[in-house]
Amino acid sequence: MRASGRLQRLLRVFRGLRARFRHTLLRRRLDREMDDEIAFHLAMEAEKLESQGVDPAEARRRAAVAFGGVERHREALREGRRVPVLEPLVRDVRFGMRSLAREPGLTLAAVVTIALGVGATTAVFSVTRALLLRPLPIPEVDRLMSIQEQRSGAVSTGVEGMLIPYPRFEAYADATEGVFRSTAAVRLDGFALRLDDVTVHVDGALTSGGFFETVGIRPILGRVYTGDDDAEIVISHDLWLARFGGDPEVVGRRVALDGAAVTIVGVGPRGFRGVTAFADALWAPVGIRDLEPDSWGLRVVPLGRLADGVDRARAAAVVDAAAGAIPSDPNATIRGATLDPVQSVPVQGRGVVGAFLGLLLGLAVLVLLIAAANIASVLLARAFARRRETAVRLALGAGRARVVRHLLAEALLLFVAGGAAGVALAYLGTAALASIPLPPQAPVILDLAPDRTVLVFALAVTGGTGLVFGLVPALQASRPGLIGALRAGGWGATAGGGWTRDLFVGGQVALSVLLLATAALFAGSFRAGASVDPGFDAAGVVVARIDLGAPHDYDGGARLRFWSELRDRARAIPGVKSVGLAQLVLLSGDRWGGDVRAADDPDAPGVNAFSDFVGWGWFEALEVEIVEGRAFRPSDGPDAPPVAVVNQFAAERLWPGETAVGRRLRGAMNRSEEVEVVGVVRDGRYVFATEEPTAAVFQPLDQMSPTAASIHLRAPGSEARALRELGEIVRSMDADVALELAGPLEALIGFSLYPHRIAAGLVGAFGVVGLLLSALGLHGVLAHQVARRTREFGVRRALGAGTGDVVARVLGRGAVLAGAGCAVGLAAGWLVARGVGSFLYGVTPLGAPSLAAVAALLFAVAVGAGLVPALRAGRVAPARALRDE
Amino acid sequence: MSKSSNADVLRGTLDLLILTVLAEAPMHGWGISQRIQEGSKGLLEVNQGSLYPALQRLEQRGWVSSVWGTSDNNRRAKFYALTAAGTDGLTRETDEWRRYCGAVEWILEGT
Repeated sequence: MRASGRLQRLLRVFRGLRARFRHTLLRRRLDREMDDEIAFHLAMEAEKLESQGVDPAEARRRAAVAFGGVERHREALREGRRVPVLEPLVRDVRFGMRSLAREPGLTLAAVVTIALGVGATTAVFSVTRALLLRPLPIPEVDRLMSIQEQRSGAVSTGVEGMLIPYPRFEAYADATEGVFRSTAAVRLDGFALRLDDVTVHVDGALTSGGFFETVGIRPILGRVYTGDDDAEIVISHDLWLARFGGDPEVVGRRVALDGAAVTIVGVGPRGFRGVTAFADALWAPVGIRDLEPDSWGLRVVPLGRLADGVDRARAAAVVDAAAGAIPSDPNATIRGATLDPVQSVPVQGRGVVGAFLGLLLGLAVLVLLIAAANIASVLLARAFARRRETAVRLALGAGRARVVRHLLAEALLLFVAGGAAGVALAYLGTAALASIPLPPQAPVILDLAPDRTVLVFALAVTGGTGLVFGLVPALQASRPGLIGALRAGGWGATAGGGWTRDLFVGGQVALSVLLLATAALFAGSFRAGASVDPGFDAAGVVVARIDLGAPHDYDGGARLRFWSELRDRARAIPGVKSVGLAQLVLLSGDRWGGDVRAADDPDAPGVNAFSDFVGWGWFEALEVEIVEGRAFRPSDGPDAPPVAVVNQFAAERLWPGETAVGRRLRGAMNRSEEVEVVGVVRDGRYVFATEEPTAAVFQPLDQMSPTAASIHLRAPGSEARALRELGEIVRSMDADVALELAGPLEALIGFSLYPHRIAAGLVGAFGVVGLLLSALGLHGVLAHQVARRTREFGVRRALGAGTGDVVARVLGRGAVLAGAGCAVGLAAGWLVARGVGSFLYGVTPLGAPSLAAVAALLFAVAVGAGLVPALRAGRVAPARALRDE
Repeated sequence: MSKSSNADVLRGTLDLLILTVLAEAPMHGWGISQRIQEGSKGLLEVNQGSLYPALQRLEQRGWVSSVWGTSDNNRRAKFYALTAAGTDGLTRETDEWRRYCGAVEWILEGT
């Protein structure tokens, strides 16, 4: 057999390795000592003979003769040197390999099974590690803290944590001088970086001068800025390579950042991308934003590096005390402040991300458990098939421990091979995961490839499950009672170890139901989310965000002219059917709004409404249906009366049962006066696809002229070209303005469904693997049983039982196992569904249809898996039983 | 190799003899073989081919330990000494041997 030949070769290699190990490590020293000892012996013997009058040369000869062949002794001593603990182990492993090589098909199936389980678990753990557990590449990152205030009132958090006004950061810096070696402020921001022939949007951070010292980062080229000169920036290693071709002359280069001339003074070290999971491409001093130094408007997160000898608790006490003592910004109530270690995902986000990844990890472990239970039941079957051999060995005096060791070695061999294959699978899996494009809103660079910690994890998981699931069958199959197997003649007996196998198989079925049920819930949730009618049509629409923020010298009128000219020129792009400007991009996570009220009923409760400023043409570009009244017109300009368009939900809440058009509402954004409703649009979804239906109020963009807006182009069939020409138009209008988040609208709105999509895909894959594995397990158990009971079936047939009787008997057993497993799995699935309810959308946790469907599917598969062995049993000829004798 | 007048040490008794010798004082391999030869008044001759493997075996069992030292005539030699486990083992093996010898004697006299 080729496989066994390969295994023989492997065995030889292994033996060679073992010998090399012993020889290279120990042989030299031991050999030298042995030679010394023999030499000493010969010298003493010769000396003794000399003292009896023999001449020295003859004495040496006789001593050597008396000792016998020196080389023979040396070999004997070397033989005796075998390490006593290792030797039996090596024998067990060799024994295990031989017996596995006898059944290459089974062995391969087992290895693949374990590989799937270990691979799934390891891949998910890799992601968890990359997101939550791997420290940022910052020296002594555990001593780098961020100050997180507990505030009420108007709060804003960024991915870097709770943002607080810059003056408060400065006050903290003064108050914590004793406990922090240095402090710095940071906030993420976006920039338009103008290079020779292109202006690009890059993500980066505004920092105070002490940032690099506090973080502990040295540039690989040039120097860092200290904050004295606001026109100096440091670029990341990634940006240096991507945009400057790794040019060593980049230091001193002048570029335009948001329209301001700045000098690149340094390049950060490779791998350093800031203090969050989001990748910074550059760092600029906060002063670049031209804000007044004492402005409450600039919001930052304070960082501090603990001084030597100061622990976190002491620094936290100082920070908390300072929080109440330093001047507070207006309209804010500060309850205190805590210190959090700087982590890629800040403390506010860790709960959700952790719960989500924990759920995935738990489900991956289920796959592993199914795989392990599968292997255990196969091993048990094999052990019982060999119970005569085992019984003979026990009877001949082999200790039970020794038999257990043999069986365990076999199991561990399978698990080690499977674990290695599983790690390879995990590499492939994480590579596949990494290739799924992240939503453009999340410029995260995740290194998902398994590292050493992940490998250790895989090893521990593999070893642990191998030990547990290998030990159970080994103990079962080596029970002393097995001696009875000798007497029983080694066939026909149905008892022994049966219930353990049943448990393993039933457990597999139960776990598979659980997995599939969860997968069905997530798939249902994703489907429900994806099939939600958002109230607009994103297909064929490309979008780009344009920021005319502070550093560009645009006042309200200039912005209005810019947006107006941009709209007119964009409409002229060939292939563009309609153009709409809006402050926000729907379903991209952008959120804005407040309470609105009907003006004619001062006592009516406010209705919380999503709010957006949209230009005329926007409703047309997004194909938002006007159900009543009109859309905005070019005439709804800054000097025209303020108007609004509301959705049906808002109209129904504000003026139940009446028409909304022509009514007035209060509380519209940026408007203290009443606003007239001129139209009603069909309901849609605004922030997330999975949100509850909500009220929405739209106001004309021209009556607000925001500093940043997103331009939507409906250009079916020529999306890429439209976007390219849009870029050229913007550049010709202002070379210091960059297109941001430019791309198909569908990519942006995929953001809100991203976790659902990942979960549905992953859990679905887990579920399919689990289903296959348990079908295999059930098939194995029944097939094995049929083989064992061949004689019994023969006798039954001889006594008049029909084929149907025998088939039903085997199938019935499979059905009982599958049924019991399904019942347990359904109960567990119901519990899990309640637990993961917060991750789901549009499916009830009790999603009875999906749970029942899963159970029915699994039951059908299980019975199908039993069909082949059952039919085989039905074909047993009566005479067969007698021949078997 | 052995002279006709001398008997090779019986298999299985060599360990016992080594332990007995080491119970008096730590000793190197050559010394052990000399002591057995002298102690048996030249009746028993230790085959070197079994002495050193036996020492190795006893060491692996933890009954003797070894250390490199200097012999009486200033040569580097490997000295073997009895461990606590070896002392216990010696007592047990001695009892065992006495019972065995008694049994053999009893049978020989009975026939």
